[in-house]
Amino acid sequence: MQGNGTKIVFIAVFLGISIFYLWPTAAFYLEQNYIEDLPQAERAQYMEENRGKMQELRQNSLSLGLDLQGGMHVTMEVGTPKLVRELAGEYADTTLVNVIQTAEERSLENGTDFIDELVQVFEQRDPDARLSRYFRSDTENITRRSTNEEIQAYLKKQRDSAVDRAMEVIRTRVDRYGVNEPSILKQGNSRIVVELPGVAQKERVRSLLKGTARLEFRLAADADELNASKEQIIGYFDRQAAASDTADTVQQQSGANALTQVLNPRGRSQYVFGYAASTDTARVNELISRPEVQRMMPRNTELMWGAAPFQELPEQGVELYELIGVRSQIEMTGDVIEEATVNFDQATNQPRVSMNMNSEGARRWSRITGANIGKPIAIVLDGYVYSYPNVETKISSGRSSITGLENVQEAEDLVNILLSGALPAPLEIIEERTVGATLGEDSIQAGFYSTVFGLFVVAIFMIVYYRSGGAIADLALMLNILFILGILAAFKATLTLPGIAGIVLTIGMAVDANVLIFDRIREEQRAGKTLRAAIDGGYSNAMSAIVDANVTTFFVGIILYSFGVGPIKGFAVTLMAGIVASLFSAIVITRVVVDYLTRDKSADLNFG
Amino acid sequence: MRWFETPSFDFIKGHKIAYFISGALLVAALIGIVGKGLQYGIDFRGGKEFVLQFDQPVEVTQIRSSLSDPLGSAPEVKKFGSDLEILIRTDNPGEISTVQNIITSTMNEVYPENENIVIKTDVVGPRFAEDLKSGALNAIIFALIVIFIYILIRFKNWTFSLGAVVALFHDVLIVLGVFTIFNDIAPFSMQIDQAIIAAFLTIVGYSLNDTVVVFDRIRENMIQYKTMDFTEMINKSLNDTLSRTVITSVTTLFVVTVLFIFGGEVLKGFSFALVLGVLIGTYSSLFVASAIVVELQLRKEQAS
Repeated sequence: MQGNGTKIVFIAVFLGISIFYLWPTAAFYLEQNYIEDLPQAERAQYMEENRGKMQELRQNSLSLGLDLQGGMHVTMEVGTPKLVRELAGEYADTTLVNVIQTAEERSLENGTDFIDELVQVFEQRDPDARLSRYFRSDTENITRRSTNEEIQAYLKKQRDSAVDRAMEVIRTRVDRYGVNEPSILKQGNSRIVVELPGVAQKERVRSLLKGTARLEFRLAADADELNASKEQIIGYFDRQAAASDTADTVQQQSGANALTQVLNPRGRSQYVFGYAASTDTARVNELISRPEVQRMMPRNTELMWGAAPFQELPEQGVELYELIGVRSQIEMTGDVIEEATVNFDQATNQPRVSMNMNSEGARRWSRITGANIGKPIAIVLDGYVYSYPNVETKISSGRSSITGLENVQEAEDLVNILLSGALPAPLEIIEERTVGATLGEDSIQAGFYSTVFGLFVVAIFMIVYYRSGGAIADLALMLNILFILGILAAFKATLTLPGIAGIVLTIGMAVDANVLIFDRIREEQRAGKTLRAAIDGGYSNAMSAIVDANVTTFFVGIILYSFGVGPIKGFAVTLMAGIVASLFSAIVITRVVVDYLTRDKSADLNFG
Repeated sequence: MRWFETPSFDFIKGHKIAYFISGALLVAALIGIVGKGLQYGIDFRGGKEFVLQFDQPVEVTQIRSSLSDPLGSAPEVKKFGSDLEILIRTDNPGEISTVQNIITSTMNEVYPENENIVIKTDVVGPRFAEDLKSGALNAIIFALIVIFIYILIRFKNWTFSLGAVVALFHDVLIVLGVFTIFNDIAPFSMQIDQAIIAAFLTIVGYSLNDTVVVFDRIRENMIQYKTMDFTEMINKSLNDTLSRTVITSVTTLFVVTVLFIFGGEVLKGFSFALVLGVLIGTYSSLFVASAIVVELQLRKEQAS
C-alpha cells in the first residue's frame, strides 16, 4: 500500500490532462447536436452569436483525417528538370538537354536527388567541363568561374525557393477558393502536400493547384504559309495511306488518310489549321507531332488548340475544337498584369476576364497592337488559345480581356490564378486521394462500431475468465481509451480510420499486460503464497516480460511512423499512444485498485 | 475459469510436425509469390482507382467490358462492399479528370437510369509509387534489424535473436503468400499496399510480443533451474506461459475479427492480414521460435 499516494496523484493528473484536452471535442460535438435540434429560425441567429466560441472549440478539437471527414489529399512535385532548363535559359545547348534527360532518368530509377545526378552525369561526360557555362546569376554570385559545387548549391537553392514560392502561390489560391483548415506542407526537397478537407469539386481544385496561368500574347501564323504546309502535310498522309494498305495502327482504316479521318482541314478563318472532335484531339496531337510532319510546318509556327469548343453538336454528343496556327515567338507574357476582374461581354453576355497592365506592359501592348493592325493576336493561356481577336486600333490604355471562358466559375478561378502570381516551375500531381463525405461518415460509423464491439467482447471475456481481476482490468481498459484519445488531442494528432483500427487493436493487446500479471498471480497462489504475497509477486515478476514485449512493439510503431505516410502515420501514432496508455493503466491503475480492495488482511479478491 | 492451468504438452516433440507444417506452408507461399509475383496495389504500382456508388445494383463483368474500349485496356473491376459500390482500377495514363470523365460518362451510357457518384479516388504516379515501395521495404528491413539488436541486448544470446527474427519472417511470408495466392478470388482487395505493410509490421510486433514473453520465461527458468536439460526447460517455459499466450491471442483475435466484420470495406484487407497474423504469430511463437533456439543452442553447445 505504501507509495500508492504518488500513484494516485499520477492517475489523477493524467486523467485531468486527458479530460482537459478532450473537453473541446466533446463540447463541440454537443454544440453541434444542439444546433441541429434548434428550429430553423433560431439556428442562424444562434450560430451568428456563437461563431467565435464554435471556431475556438473546433480548432482545439481532435481533428479527423481526410478519410473520415472527406476531402482531397494531393502530393505535387516541382518539375526540377524543367526549372534547371529554364534557369539555363539561352545558354542551354544540346549537351545540357541530354544531361538533364539522363539525370532525370537516373534519379527516377535510383530514387536519388535530380540535381546530384545532374552534376554527376555532367562530370562523367567530361570531368574537366564546367557547369558554369550554363548559369549566371548576379544576386547569387554565379559567374563563369564558379565551380561545379557552387553551381550545385545554387541550383538547390533555386529549387528550394521555387518550392517555397509555389507553396505561397498555392496557399493564396486555396485561401481565395475558400477551404476550411487547409494544410499545405513541404515534403522532401521538391514535394508539396496539400490537404483540403471537405472539398467536393475536385476537377476545379486540380486545375487551381496545377494552373501555371502562363498567359501569353502571340501573333497568329502567316496564313499563306500555314495553308501551304497544310496541303503538304495532308499530301504526306495520303502517300502514307497509299503506301501501306495494311494500316500501321488499329485505329486507322487501311487506305484512308490518317489525318483527315480525325481532323477536318477547314476552319472559320485562314489561321485555323482544322478542327476535330474532343475525343479525337489526342490522336491529332500524336499525328502532327511526328518529326517528319513537324518538318513540314512553317518556321516559327506552332499549332495550338482552342480552349473552348467553337461548335457543339449536343444531339451527337460531339464538341468541336479548332487547331489554330500561332507564332512560336511570345510577344508578351502575363507578368505585366496588375489587375484582373470578371465581367460580362455586353454583346454576347458571356463571362470574360478584363485585365489591366502595368505601365511597362501598357507601353509594350501599345507598340505590339500598333504594329499589327488588322491582324489577329492570340491570347494563349497554359498552351490553349482562348481567343484571337483582330486588332482594330492601337491600344495604349494597357487593357485586354480574355474571352472564350466556359462559365463564371472558370472566369473567377482564372482571376484567382492570374492575381496570385504564376508558379515558378511546373507542378505535377504525383499522388491524389479523395474521399467523399458519405464514405467518410460510413468509415466513422464502422470505426465506432468496431471500437464498441471490440471493447464489449474483450470486457466480457476478461470478467468471465478473471472474475474480479477481470473487472479491474476492464476499468483500466476504459480509462486507457480515454488516455489514448487524450494523448492524441494533446499532441494535435489526427484521427484516421487506420488510427481507429490502432485503438481497436490496442484494446485487444492492452489486456495482455493484465493477463500476464493475473496469470502470474494465479501461479504464485498455486505455489501456496498468501493473496497479498501473490499479488506482489505477480506484479513484480511479470514486469520484465511486459516491458520487453511493449518496447519491441513500440519500436515497430516508431518505424511505421517514420516511413509511413498519411493514414499509416495515424495508425502508428495511435499504436504508440496505445502502448504508453495501456502500460500505465494496466500496471499502475490496476495495482492501486487491487491494493485498495485487499487493504484488509482478511479481504479476498477473486482472480478466477 | 482456468485454461491450461498446469499444462505439460511436449512442444519439443511437436517440433517435427511443426517443421513439416511450416515447411509446407512456406513452400506453398514461396511458390505463389515467385510464380505469380507480388500482387501490388495502387500504392506500389501506381495507377488510378475510382470507387463509384450506384443507386441500383450493377454487374461487375458488364462494367469491365464496357470500359475496356474507352480506357484502352480492360480495367480491374471489383465490388467495394455491396452491389452498389464498385471499384475500378485502370492504368490509363491520361489526366485524372479526363479518365474520371471517361468512366462516369461511359457508366451513364451503360446505366442511363442508374445514377452514379464517385465516392473515392486514388491516383498514384509511378515515381511516387516507387518511393512508397522503397519506404515500405526500408521500414520492414529496419524493423527486423532493430528487433534483432534489441533481443540481442536484452537476452545476450544471438540464438534468441535469430529464433525471433526467423519466426517473424515465417509469419510475414505465410501471410504474404496467402495474400498473393488468393488475391484474385477474394471478395475484397488482397493487394499489397501501404495498409498491408502496416498490418505486416503490426503482425511483426504482435508475434514478437508472444515470442519475447516465452523467451523471458526461459531466461527466468535458466536462473532458477540451472541443472535442467535445455530442451526440457524450454518446454517448461512454453507450458508456463501457455495460458497467457492463449488468452492474449483470444482477446486479440476477438478485436481483429470485429474489425474485419465491422471495420468497413476500406479496412477489409488490413484486418484480414491481422486475423491471419495473430493465428500464425501465436503458432510460430509456440512451435517455431523456440524450436529454432533449441536447434541453434544444441549446435552451439556441440561445437564448443
